Amino acid sequence: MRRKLHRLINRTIESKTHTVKLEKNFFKLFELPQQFDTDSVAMKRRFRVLQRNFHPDRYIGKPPQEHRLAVQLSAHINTAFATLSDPVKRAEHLLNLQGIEIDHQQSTIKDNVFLLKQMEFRETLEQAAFEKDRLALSNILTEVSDDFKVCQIEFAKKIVNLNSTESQSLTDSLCNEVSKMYFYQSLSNELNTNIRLLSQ
Amino acid sequence: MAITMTEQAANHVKRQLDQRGKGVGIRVGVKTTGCSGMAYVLEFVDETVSDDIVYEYHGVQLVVDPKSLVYIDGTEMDFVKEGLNEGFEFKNPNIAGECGCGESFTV
Amino acid sequence: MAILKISEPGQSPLPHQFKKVIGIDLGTTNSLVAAVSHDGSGEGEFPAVLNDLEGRAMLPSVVHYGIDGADCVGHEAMALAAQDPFNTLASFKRLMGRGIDDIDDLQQFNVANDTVSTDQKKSTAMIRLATVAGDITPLEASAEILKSLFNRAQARLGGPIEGAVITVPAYFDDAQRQATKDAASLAGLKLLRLINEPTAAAVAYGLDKADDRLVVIYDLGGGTFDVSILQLSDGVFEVLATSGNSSLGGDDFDLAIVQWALTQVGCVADDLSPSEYRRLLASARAVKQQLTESEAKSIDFTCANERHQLNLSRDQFNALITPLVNTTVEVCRSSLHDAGLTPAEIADVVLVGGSTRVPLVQERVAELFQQKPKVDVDPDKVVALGAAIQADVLIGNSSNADLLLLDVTPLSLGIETMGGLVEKIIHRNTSIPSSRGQEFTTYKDGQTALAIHVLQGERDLVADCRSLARFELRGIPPMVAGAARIEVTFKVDADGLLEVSAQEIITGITANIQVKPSYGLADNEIAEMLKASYSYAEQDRDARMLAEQKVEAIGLIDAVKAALLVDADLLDEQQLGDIRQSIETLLLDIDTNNTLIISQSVAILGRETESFAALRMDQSIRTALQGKNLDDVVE
Repeated sequence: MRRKLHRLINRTIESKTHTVKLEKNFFKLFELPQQFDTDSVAMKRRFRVLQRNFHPDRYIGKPPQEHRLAVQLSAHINTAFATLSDPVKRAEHLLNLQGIEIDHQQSTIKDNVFLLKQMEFRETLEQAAFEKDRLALSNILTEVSDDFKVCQIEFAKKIVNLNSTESQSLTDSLCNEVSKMYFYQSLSNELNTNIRLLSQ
Repeated sequence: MAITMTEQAANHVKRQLDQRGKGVGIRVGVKTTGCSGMAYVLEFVDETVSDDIVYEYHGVQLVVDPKSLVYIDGTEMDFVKEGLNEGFEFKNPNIAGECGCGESFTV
Repeated sequence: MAILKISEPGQSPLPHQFKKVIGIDLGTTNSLVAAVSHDGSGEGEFPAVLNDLEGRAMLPSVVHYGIDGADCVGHEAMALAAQDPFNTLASFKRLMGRGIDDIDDLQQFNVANDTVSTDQKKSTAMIRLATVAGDITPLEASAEILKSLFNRAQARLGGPIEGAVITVPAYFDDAQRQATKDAASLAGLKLLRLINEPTAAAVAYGLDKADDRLVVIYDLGGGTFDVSILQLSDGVFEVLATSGNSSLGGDDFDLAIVQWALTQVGCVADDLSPSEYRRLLASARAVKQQLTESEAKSIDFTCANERHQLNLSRDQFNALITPLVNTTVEVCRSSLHDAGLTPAEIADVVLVGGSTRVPLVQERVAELFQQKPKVDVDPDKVVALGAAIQADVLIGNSSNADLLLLDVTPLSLGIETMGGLVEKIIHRNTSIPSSRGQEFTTYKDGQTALAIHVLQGERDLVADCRSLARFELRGIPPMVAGAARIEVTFKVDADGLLEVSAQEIITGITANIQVKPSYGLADNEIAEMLKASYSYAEQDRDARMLAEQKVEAIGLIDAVKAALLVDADLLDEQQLGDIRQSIETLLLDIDTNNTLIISQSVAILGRETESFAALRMDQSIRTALQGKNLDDVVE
């Protein structure tokens, strides 16, 4: 009887859940300037301060409603931190905050030189993986990492102008840089996995 | 009636007063709080207040305020050791009920 | 009565500042319980393992069943193992939240026929073990161990226990964690938190007091292996990566010796009677332990009543276990790689679990990390001690209030998509709690329902991952393929338990489940077990329910009152009046001694404080965003 009743009550509470306003701008939440380059030390410190205040473990013995809200908040802080820590996600978040959405299924990169180079990288990767050539893999990784960094610097430079010039071409080129970053990131991950498999 | 203290308890109080370096004795009393009414107070005394009732056992002054005395009259204070834990225990004849852990009581 | 200390004038502590809480290491081979004792001044905190009446710390995780149910546990049960093997359950932690297909070496378990049935439904059910008392789930056997430790703690601490932290291997998946949580409620324990064993070990070493540093916890227990990489700074324990193998441990060293012994004399396991097998296993374990000190040891056993004696040197033993130890070293390597680290960056390596006493293990770990691993705290007790410390912090007893454990998911969580592929929604090593939604759509014109299959694992194919649950979102209005927008949200709480919900965005139709069914037990099954476990009369049961309900009510009132004291100004007069009124009503209702009335009143107060809770949290967030001193926000 008691269990049944409890279930009934849970349902009523569920139906009129009160939620707190979550800060959607992760830079604001983390007290960081809204720009691509971030201070990772300050970010980490802020993350700990926020979790110290909102982690559900801090709400044991408080009203259960607050505990539940703390779970939501703490999850939100985790998402924010993960987004800000990853250059590609961070770049995309910056664009999102300006109302620009990247549709990953639709977006295509029109930079032929870039695409050809990517194909070359992939071919070299496959060849090196097949030949179990660890050195070759490491060399590609260094090259990819350098290109990745250049791409990030480009993005950081360009996004500064986004507020002043409302140009479609700038928006397009920023989205293009993010798409390129995705390529570099997944390629680096693949290279790392292959290198690890070979070192075992 | 009065509040009493065993010699062993007095010796331990003396030792702790010496370690502390100041104080004229200990205060025993009650305050209302806790899960079942009242809790004991056991504190060092730096100076007594005019209402205080002062007893002396084995060279140690034991101070009680008159309001508290009503609830703990007849209590004997003893020193006990339970494993790693050691301290003072109150044998209070007035207790009607005690909470599970014995930290608070009703009269 | 309690023992008092002399306080400074005016500083007598309030009673009940220290709530009695415990930490439990629920192990495969042995279990322990620990608690932190306080000296009253709030400064002295002494974590200690609570021994049984005979002074033994470890309770063997063994339960013996008689006709009427579990009749003894621990050492007593173990003593019965040889003479009554079928009714003596051991190593059942390996079966928690598992199905029949998950376990390779079932020979040591007497699995109930029921579970082996080819029936599709049955084959995904949690394993049951056949005993004279009927078929027993590993969850029930675990609850017996927990009950025994709980009783021990109650006797030793002299009073009601307000909560417990139970440790689980970091590698435990959702089903295994859920099973552990259910075992706790079956044992009547209030679970404060499930924490990972390696994290508990780091807490016990007090490594939180050190500066920013990276620590590896190498935990080789009886039945599980875990490695975790933690970053510690300012009291925050952050799990950067965790990995392991939930069916590799010291028991496998024993089995390796058993295999070797049998091969030497030309026997196979089937030639031995169950009691012969158990005796051989016990001798193997003893020899393993002795080889930590000695260079060689002899092993005696019988196979089909024929006596054998063999000599095993440490070198031979090392050769037998090298593949197993190598596996653990490889897991360490790939875990480091996952976290983007090299062995040289690790400041400390902590060894946990009795099996780390094996010299070869210590050698190989030292070799990998280029340093001598820490073994100062008894590797058998370190996890229980850490759990006790964490319980003490969570309940608010500890002066060490800065300690905060931030954990990650051990395995990726996702759902099945077209073509038997898994789309990951929450990736492994994501910080928890975590919440993430992903949009899906229909793939056929006029499709009105969507089957959602929740999976856990790292592989891309559904067949290679663990099925956690299936549910359906129905009532999607017929549209052309791809037009419906279905958002599937995964929420993982601080204990690592998953909840999944799905919503069709256009119509708002929702489906919501707490992940439980596959390999777990349904709510009603647990309710049944709970009911059956009350050995006393109905009256007693009602009294217990009433007492529990009262405690819940008083806890809620205290929490709400404390919140009002600080933030009553957030409410308008109407709201404040309503909440005060509900508190008064609940206080009166408590005196009715009617469980139903009290629970209704609790629900009303709970509802009324919903928006208050939200307002309070909103205020905290605003404060946080204004950059005020956050340490003042949550007291």
